[in-house]
Amino acid sequence: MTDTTVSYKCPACGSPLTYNPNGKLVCAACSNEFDIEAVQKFAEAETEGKGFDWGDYKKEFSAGAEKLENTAVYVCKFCGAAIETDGTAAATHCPYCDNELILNDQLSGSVKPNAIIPFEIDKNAAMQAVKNHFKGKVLLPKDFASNHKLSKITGVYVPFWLFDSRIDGNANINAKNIRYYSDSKYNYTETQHYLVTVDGAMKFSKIPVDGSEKMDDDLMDALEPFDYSSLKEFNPAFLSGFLADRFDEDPDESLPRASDRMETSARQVFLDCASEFDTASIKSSNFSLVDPSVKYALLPVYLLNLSYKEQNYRFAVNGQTGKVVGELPISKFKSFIQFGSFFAGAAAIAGIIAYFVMGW
Amino acid sequence: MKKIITVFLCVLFSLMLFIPVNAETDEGLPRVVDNAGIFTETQFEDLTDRANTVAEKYDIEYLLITCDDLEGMSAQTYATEFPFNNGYCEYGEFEGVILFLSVDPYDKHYYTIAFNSYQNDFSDKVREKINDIIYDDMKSGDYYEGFKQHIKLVGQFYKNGKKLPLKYRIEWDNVWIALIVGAVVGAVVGGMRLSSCKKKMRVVAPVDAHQYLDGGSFNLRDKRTYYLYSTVTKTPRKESSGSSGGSSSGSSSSGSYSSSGRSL
Repeated sequence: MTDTTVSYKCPACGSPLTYNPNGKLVCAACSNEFDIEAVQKFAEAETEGKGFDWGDYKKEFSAGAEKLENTAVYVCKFCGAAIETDGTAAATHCPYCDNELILNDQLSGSVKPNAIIPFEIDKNAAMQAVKNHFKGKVLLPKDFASNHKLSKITGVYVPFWLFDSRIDGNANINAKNIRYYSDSKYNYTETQHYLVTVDGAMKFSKIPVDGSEKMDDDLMDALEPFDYSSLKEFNPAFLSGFLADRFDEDPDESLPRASDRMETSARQVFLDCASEFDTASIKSSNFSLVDPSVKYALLPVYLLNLSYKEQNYRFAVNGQTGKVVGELPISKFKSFIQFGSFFAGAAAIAGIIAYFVMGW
Repeated sequence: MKKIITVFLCVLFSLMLFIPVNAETDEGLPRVVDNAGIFTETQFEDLTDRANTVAEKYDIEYLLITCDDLEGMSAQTYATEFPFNNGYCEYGEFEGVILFLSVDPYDKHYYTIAFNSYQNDFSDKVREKINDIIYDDMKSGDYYEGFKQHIKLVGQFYKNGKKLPLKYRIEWDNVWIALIVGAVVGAVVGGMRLSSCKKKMRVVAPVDAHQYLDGGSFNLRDKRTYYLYSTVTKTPRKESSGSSGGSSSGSSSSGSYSSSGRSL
């Protein structure tokens, strides 16, 4: 015999609900009464939430696309980086590990990119940007800022995958409104609980993810944003005087970074739909991809490697905007001074205030 | 030579006999009267010494009285009649300030009362301030500490040229708490500063794709709101600290007076 019983749980305490002749579902444990539709929706939300679904992933970029010709390929014998140039750039050292590059004419040219953003700042401007980046960093060791070799900074076109997609989805949101009031004896806090269901769609364009295994992903992401109004159809002439890296991560490997970011944004957009409540949080969500696509583009980056106390520090400069990113070494002595001075000042003020407040 | 020294010492000793002992008022009556018997012998002697030091230093008439049997009177009436009834003054002529504590279950109060010309110096504000400061000690039953503090405050008041503010005593428990609070706040602020500086030294990658969201592309197709339930929590309201006090003035057998008192 098929079991056709249906049972619902109380949204407040999780106990079983029973039907009351007044048309509502009642919880015997906490005495709350609920509309049937609200409980059914709450139950559905408990089982939903499959997460993010890319569906049929479509690539505009094809592995059999046109290849670049008349390029010189330099190989780093230490890290294996294959750096490409149209022959006009003197590639003497690896921009990734700072070791010597050797010319290898046995490697064929890489796949032709769909688009490129040409360099908009020159090497001197990039060096100045790095110098400015060091200023104002109170924890930077004094000798790091003074002993640098900025002239080794190198302009490299870094391979990026630019992802486009429309996101279709829905979300279930736990929302609350809180009210405070009091009488002569008690202070009261009343919390009203709601379930908000949202359904919608949005479009994302050109989310960049670097296609080079040698490039630190966080470093490349931190270089954003690039101004895509300068994005042009690829022309080998743009490579003149610069190096270009080849992609060694195909789009499927880069995809999770783009999808994570899209999901984070989509969840926030849906959450903002419940802004009229005092608090709101996503209970569950479903997203699917509609018409996804990806393009292969070269974006301009200046790279610089500096050594300090047997550690390598890599810096990247956005070759379009001049934004500088990179981990800096931290001086323990300066950290102690910063902590100590603020500790002493705040402790003295707080202690004096606390003493006199207790004395009132 | 020995005779000269002996005579000298005898004369010196004799002179010492004429140095007034500061244990009594001008009328030769005790300055501290513990009719309620709430102080130990040591405490009583300490309070007497302190009170006498202040009284002599500033040349004031200052009494401290405890009582556990008001003989049917109100605490304020008993206090204002006390100087005359106990021989501290002629009728209506008591010039001084008193601290009076009644532990009579019928009317537990303490009062700071200024008589006649002392009303000019010990205004309502001054008496209320003194009562405020010693309230916690008196309320908790630490009468010795409360009396000690009262004596100190009267001394400070005269030292300040009969002006407010009165300095708080150093509460050593509060000092330790203040040190702990200061250390915690200092650690939090110092940690926040260090964290803020370290943040500038690191690479911060974006975690969302907001800047790649096509403006105006968001299409909200459906939104529904379901009310589920409400919860109400309640917490008792704290009573305001410090029992209601009050000032009053009037006339008694000891003279005109202004009184400020607190219920215990």
